[in-house]
Amino acid sequence: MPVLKDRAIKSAGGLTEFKRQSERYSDDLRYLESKKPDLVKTHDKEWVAIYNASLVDYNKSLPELIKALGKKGIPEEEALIQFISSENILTLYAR
Amino acid sequence: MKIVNCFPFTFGAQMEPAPAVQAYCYLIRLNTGFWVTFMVDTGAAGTCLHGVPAWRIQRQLRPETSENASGVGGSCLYYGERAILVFLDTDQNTVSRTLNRLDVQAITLRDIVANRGIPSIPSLLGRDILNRWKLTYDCPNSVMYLTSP
Repeated sequence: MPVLKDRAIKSAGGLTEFKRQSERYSDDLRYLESKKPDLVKTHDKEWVAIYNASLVDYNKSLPELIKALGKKGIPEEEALIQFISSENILTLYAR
Repeated sequence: MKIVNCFPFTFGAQMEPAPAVQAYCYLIRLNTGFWVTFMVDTGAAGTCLHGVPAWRIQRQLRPETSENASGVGGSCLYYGERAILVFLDTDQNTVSRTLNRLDVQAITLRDIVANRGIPSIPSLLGRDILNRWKLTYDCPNSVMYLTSP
């Protein structure tokens, strides 16, 4: 389905932008994982937003966090938003 | 063959790291896309969006596509959307897979305000994609990747 793939990449702003976003998103994921032990202590049960490999905001409320990102001019759809929890989770799924 | 790297990730929770992969999720009808971190889950029949990615598009989903799905944690309502997932392989080439039905978790504002059921559930890359690829998983040696034919 090359046409659909082209449409997808175009929606990301083209191939160069697609790759740039991919790299930045990877950096954000690595940052989150490396900082998670600290984040669990300081932001347990909170939403955190990571952008350009830094913690840009946090809030107990997801809608409030999204609003705050908008005020800071950070594109919400590009930020890595994650709920931080000290609880153990188990995910299994069937359909 | 194209190789897409996976990585160990804990999704912000206290758990053993799970194999994860990042992909650009493009919703064809909505002409919109965003990056998602999927847990690679051979236990999931279908690929599904949970949490923030699902919430982003909640208002644009169609009630007539809703279906119940059940798992160990209980049952949940999902909407369906046709989607394409685009990955980057190790040579920086794009690899895509089309999903005739991507399950998107139904989330209410009440759920969001209460942080109920949403936060800790990762999006899942299920067997509708994994069964077409080869999955190599050697966690002790930090080797985890998907091979696309």
